[in-house]
Amino acid sequence: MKRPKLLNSKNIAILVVLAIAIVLPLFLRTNQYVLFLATTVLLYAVLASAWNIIGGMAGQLDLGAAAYVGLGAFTTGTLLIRFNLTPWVGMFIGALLAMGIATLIGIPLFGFKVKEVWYALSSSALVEVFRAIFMMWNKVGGPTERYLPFSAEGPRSWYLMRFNTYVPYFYIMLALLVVVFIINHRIRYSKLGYSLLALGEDEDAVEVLGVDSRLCKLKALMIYSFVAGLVGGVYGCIYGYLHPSFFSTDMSLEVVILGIVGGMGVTYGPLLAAIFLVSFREYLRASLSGMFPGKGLEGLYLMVYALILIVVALFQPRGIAPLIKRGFLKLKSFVGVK
Amino acid sequence: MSTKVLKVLFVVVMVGMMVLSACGPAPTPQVVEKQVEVTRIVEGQVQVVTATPEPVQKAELPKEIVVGVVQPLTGWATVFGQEGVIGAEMAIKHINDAGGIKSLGGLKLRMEVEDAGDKPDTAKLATESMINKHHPVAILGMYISRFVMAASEVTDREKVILIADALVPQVTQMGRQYLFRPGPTAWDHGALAYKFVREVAADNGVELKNMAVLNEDSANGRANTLGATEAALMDQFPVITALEYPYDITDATQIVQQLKAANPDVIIHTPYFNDAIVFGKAFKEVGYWPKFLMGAGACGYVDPASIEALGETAEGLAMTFSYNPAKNTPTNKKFVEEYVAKYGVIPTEGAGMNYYGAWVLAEALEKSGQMFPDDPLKPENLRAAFMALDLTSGPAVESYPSDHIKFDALGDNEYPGVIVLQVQNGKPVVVYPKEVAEAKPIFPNPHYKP
Amino acid sequence: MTETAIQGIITGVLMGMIYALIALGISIIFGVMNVVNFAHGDFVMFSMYLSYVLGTALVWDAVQTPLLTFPILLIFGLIVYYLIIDRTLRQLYVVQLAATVGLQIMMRAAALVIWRGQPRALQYSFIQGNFEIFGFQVLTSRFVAAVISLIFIAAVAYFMNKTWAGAAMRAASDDLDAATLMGVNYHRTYALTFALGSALTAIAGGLLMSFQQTDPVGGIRFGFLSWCVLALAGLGSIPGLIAAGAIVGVAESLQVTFFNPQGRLLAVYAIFILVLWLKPRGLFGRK
Repeated sequence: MKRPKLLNSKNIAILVVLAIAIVLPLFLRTNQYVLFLATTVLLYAVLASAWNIIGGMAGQLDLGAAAYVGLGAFTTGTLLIRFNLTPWVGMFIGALLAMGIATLIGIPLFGFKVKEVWYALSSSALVEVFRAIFMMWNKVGGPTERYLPFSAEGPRSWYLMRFNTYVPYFYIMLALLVVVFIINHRIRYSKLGYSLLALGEDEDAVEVLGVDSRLCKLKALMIYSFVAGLVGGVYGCIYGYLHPSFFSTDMSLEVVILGIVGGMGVTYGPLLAAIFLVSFREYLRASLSGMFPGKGLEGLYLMVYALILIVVALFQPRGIAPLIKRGFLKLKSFVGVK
Repeated sequence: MSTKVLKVLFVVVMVGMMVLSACGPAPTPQVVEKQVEVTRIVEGQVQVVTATPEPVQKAELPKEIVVGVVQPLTGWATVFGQEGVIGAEMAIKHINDAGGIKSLGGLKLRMEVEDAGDKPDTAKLATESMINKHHPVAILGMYISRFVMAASEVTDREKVILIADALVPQVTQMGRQYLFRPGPTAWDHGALAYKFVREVAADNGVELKNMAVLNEDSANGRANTLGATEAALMDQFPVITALEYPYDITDATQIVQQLKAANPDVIIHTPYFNDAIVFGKAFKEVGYWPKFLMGAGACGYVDPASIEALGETAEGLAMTFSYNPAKNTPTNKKFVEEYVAKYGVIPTEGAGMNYYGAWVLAEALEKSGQMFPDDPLKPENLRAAFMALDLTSGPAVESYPSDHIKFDALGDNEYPGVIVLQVQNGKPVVVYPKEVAEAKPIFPNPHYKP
Repeated sequence: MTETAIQGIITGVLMGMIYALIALGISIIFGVMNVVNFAHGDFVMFSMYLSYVLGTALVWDAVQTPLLTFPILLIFGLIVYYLIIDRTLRQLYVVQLAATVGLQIMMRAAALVIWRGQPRALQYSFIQGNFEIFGFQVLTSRFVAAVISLIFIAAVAYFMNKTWAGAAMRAASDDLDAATLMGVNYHRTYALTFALGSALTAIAGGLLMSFQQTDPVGGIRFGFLSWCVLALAGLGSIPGLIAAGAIVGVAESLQVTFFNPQGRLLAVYAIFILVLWLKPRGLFGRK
């Protein structure tokens, strides 16, 4: 199958929507909350879309996202603090470092054929290992937060990638998302993509066909960890500090959940899931958590969220993407567009 | 196939964004919105200009003043956050019962609560959402130092006062303009823990040769330990062992055995809530007690849960706190009585800090009303009022551990107060400083065997 | 030096037996049903809370509470199985992950709502104290906990090997289709397996409550550790599980004693990752 073009004359809709997404901050700029929420949604969407390559396509349940994010953040931040290197460059060094470490770990991991739940657990252990290391490594990490320099406006603000508004972060994340989509799309219709998809189905059969499954998985892991490292660099700048708690198992789990709920291997699934779950969770938090002050009912919103998660997992095991697609097609036929 | 997919994708993006933008700006009370238009600087100085054409004209006051409380109400820091909300709620009730802010014509306060969760994402979102939806003049809380860090960037941008209850000293050292911390720092805690032990030992004629420091590995734990170590270094008092452990430790046996082998005379320990119980039980079970086991940093050992769980073992354990529940003043007594009646235990750190935090805010609003009758709620004015505060009496001081509240350039209190609570007969009592003590400290630790 | 090391090993081995008991629950659930329960650690947390509630209400000692928490957890396990796990059996294991992570968030939030965020602990247990063997200190509570854990591990081994229900479980684990043909109702077998695996956390919870406290996020401490134990042990080997528990306990204990308590799990994770690479079936795996 020939790879369909990501953009062509037929789907002007894409350009229109992209244009809308681009101008969106202009309308929202005074509403920092929604802008920040949109940025957070995009951030998780980028992570989950990158995860989609290794998790969704290749079927490797990687729980190490936070390890790469943390590495990216610490590299970028430390370079900025120590050597006054701008995060625009630092994030790429951080991403390369994350990718390098992922490769070093990936070679034996795939070489020894660590699979399924064991792969998930060992990548999850990676997060904890890095947290412990950075907690003890007082020169770079340590329990006391390290604060990134800040400048409210002017070129200095751009140099530090620290802004008084979320608009630039929004665009950075949007740009990353577009890039990750293109990567996803290209891989999906390349030899690597077919191999990965086949791997996700049946690893041994692919081996028989002469595909080097280790190399394929390693490539997927490298792309994924690179993107996660990039996101990490920006993540540190958004929050303005470095702390070993960036290596958080909860974050990894959240990324994986978005990937799964979105629909494994579907390019746009993670974005859908991020839009729904992240903003839904935030909506629940904002509306329910302060409702009964002092009554100890703050956990309620998490119960509602968990219930939704379980229901989606049980009754929509292929993710919400097919559901949306079906709904959209119905809508289209209802309107009468062909 | 792909074009369809992409179409769907982008339509969904659009719809999602629209949903987001639609659900964001919640309908705000009209009056509050008016106040915001006048006082907040959005996108440059536009509003300042519109506010000044007629200098005589007074800025219109809202119907009530909104105070935001953003605390970790889910996740591992819940113990503190939930208490903090209760403390703030009671303070606001008391402020309103006492006639509100008198210099603003008896304006009442209203509390809004949001959960900061246990991640920086949620903490920052909570701050943004609080400011966006409720337009508070001030936010109380945050507790965890890295949340203060993330949130204070927001509050400084929006010029909302943040009254922090985190102890970590670095919090106020980033040049934030709108951040104030009435309470003491962790350094104060650690130093006082050390000073207390030395003083009481001298009073009881017990000779102390050395000490060990032990803390859970958070910013707060380390800062307490540094405070204590620094104070000891000044005295050239030897610190023979320093141990740091993760707060989610499952078994403290080895650490206690290590301490037993080092055998220091005093241990200054900064625990969180959970590990205090684990350590208390381990000390008892291993059968090792130093001459004195001193806590710093206002978490475990002396809180109701620890006393209940440790039973007789808790006897004699002491801990530094940033709030004095035994302070004999009308405001404080009223607060403690109501708290005990409602929850069955005395208020300690979280409730106390937010109680006086809210009162400090009330005093600052009062001051702002006197200083800037034309526009008391303008952030710059309110900040100036905070800086001008020099309290030696009144309800804020009545519930504060020291007798003086005055903010320095960093936003810290120049006269921080720390007290020591010790478990005596199963109840926490204030034993230090001597002027406010309810009872004489038990020294050495009752379980200590020479 | 050697003495400190031996002391650390003793402490570690004793603690490791409880890890083995918790891991046994995961082992039979994963081994028989091939179900990945990410919420297993939170079952421990839940049992500990139940122990706290019963211990305070009935003025029982922590070690007595499993008498009641065991049946409660058995029923709870059945409910969870029929509500959630049963529906995920035919799905990819990622779906199980999503569902059990949802369960995990749910249990933590429920604990937060029911018991507030306060850490809860029971009073000093009558098994707490210490005694000396050859000059090395042994904590009585850890010792008793280790012995009781071993007894229950042995009991489960007996149950799996000598009873019909156990044989059905093993059969289902070996070859589900064949077992179904032989008249094993796999739903019922699986339900029993899951309930038993969950109920084992009640024993561990009661034992842990004798010297520990619990809080809503406390489950994370045990969930991951028990997977490490299982990875080391491999599936299906009960003596292996005991040995793996001891290894994990000792690694943790020596790390705390000799290196830095901050990285208390580093050694465990290092062993875990190495074993996955070099012996993917565990050190003592049956299949």
